[in-house]
Amino acid sequence: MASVSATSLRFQPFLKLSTRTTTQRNQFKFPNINTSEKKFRRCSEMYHDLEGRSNGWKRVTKEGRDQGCYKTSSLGAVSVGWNRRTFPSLRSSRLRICAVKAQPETVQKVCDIVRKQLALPAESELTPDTKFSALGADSLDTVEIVMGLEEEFGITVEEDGSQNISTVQEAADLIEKLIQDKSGAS
Amino acid sequence: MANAALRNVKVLPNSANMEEARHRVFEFFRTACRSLPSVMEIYNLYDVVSVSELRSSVASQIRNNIHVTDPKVIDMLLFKGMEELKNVVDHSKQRHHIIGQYVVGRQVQDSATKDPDTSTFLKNFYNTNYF
Repeated sequence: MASVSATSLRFQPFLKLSTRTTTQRNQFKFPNINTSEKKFRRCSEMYHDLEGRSNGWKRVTKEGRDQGCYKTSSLGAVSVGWNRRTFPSLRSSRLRICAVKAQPETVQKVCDIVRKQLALPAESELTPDTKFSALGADSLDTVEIVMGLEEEFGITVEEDGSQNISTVQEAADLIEKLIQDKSGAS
Repeated sequence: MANAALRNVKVLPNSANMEEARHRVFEFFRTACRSLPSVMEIYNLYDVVSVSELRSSVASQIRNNIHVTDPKVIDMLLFKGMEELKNVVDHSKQRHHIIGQYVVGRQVQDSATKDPDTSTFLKNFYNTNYF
């Protein structure tokens, strides 16, 4: 990074000099007869002033060439940065997969949502094998529970999946499967 | 998204039997629930109600007609429900309509029907006001 910044700092004066030279060339493209002598005098004066600085000029040109090499290296550095950015996303996706595999947390969340939807007291027992129908839920309540789970976990349960759900464990398994598919796709 | 999904909804033929009608009711409920986040955004209901409460309100309105057993009547009710959902999603209603019908409407109706001393005139008045 230090070398790149140093080269960029050195590159600026070369840019300035090049811009000046281009402006002068543009001026000479359309010379007028009346002002040609004045411009010639100015150029001769500049030539005399530059006699002692010819080595500096050559050095500037050499530095420009070196800066070209640095440009390619800096571009390579940029590509290296792009490559580096892809790896963290892969790691984060792996971490997500590890987090999703935690069964008890998902089951606990499902139990909380079911208890809230059916307005059950806190002391009622909800085991993974408990059926929704045993808790007094009709078919519309079951669909409502599934929609609540969709909202909580940010997933979309298809019609086939929702029809097969009748216990807490089945709901939790389906949710984990959908979450893994979603994370795998992303 | 909700608009695009509801734009393609067409009038289905009558249900052949009770099972098909029941299936269509669940499909309608599912479509309505998936539209609720858009409804919350359109009418800016975040400080008045939550998505789960709206979902419960919709479910309770469906449950009010739990006694219907004729597939033709169920199809007619589904048609009216889909029309209502389309009006809500297309912003054909105003914010106070949504609040009056789905946020506080249920409480008013419940309190009205529970009071035995209320006259028939007032009962009908309350029903028509919030229906």
